[in-house]
Amino acid sequence: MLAIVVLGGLGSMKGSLIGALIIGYVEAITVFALPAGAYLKGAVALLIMVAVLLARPEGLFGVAFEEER
Amino acid sequence: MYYLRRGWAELKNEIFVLPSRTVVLLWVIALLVLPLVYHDAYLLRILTMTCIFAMFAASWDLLAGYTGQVNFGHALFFGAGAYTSGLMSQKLGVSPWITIWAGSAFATLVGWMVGYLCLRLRGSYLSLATLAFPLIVLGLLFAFPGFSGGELGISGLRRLALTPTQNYYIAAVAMLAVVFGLWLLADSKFGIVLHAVRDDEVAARASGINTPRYKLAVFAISAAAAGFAGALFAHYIRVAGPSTLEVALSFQVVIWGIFGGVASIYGPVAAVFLLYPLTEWLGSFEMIGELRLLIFAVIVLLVLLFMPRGLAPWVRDKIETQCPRCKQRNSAWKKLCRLCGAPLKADASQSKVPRAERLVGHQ
Repeated sequence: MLAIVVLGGLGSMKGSLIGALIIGYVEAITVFALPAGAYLKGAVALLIMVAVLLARPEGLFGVAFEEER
Repeated sequence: MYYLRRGWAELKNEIFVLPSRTVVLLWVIALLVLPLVYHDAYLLRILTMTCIFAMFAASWDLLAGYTGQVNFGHALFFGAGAYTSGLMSQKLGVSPWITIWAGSAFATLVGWMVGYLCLRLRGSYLSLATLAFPLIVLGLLFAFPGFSGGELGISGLRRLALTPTQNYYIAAVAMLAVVFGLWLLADSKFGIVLHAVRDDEVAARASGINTPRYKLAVFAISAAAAGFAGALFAHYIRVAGPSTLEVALSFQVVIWGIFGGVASIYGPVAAVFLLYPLTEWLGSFEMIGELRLLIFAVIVLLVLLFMPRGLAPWVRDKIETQCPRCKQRNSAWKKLCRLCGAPLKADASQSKVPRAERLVGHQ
């Protein structure tokens, strides 16, 4: 759940929707394709989240808001 | 004789002038003397665990309190130290005295990598990304049970020492060394730079501070201390299991840090020394039993309600005041500043003067 919202970008409804699709498919494929996939399900989802955050620190569709100072 | 007198003078002038320093000195002496006076194996066990977790909490504080990189996955470093040390001593048969350093070194590497990956993230995204790392590692550990022992972990590790008193002294001395080391580091110029990075990273960068380098260094140092604590923990309870990587442990350290007061190494340490024995003590009553988590939560909430900056800064403000002229700290019951002689209770003497005059007169 957390991975989905952060992946799509906090504060973006569209992002959550697309993030849910990505994570859902990836989890299903992991469980189906890999041995011991049920243990790796959460790990793979979080790995994708971290990878997306590395490429775009505010998530896929998040708004890059300026911090108030 | 001369050295004795000199030492006494140093003690009187440097430590007994401030109540907070006296409290710290008393605490250190009590820690070191206690097993000589009172050796109950159960009490020593609780105190050993407390010492180990105090190291862990202090290392979190350097990262989250000083540098502002609020890490929700600090158990990753603890677990990295525990698993590395456990695997090495179990599979390779190396003495635990060596594998503890290896565990700490590997945790440093992990901390550096996590810091490198998280350099661009800030705020809540950083917290959530760091929260993910221990869960990923946990998934990998469960997926390869042949190597990691799966959900049971690696059990039957060799001990560092045989008697409870020896174990206690190892943990206590290690804790004092690590905590005072972190404290010195945080009070040095390095610590000031960390404050700057936390308060305003852009401004720190504009003043010529290489903030990524400082962030990486802090991640590595903090992870080294946490990994050291984790390795000690694994060899003390003789199991390196998935409980060292759990989210619960990550949040426990956050609770200790906030309860004790962030950005003060002594705060989280004091919090661990209060809260960890308290939970154990509450659990020892039959009728309380599982209610102890509720009581624990209520105590933490009440303390944070009345002391929003945490316990340790609140206590320190009660027993000490700051001189209005030279900004040195003084004990609260003194009338004059111990260094510059300025009256400490400036407000009481000036209350008769009208407000406008007071504003003009004291520039």
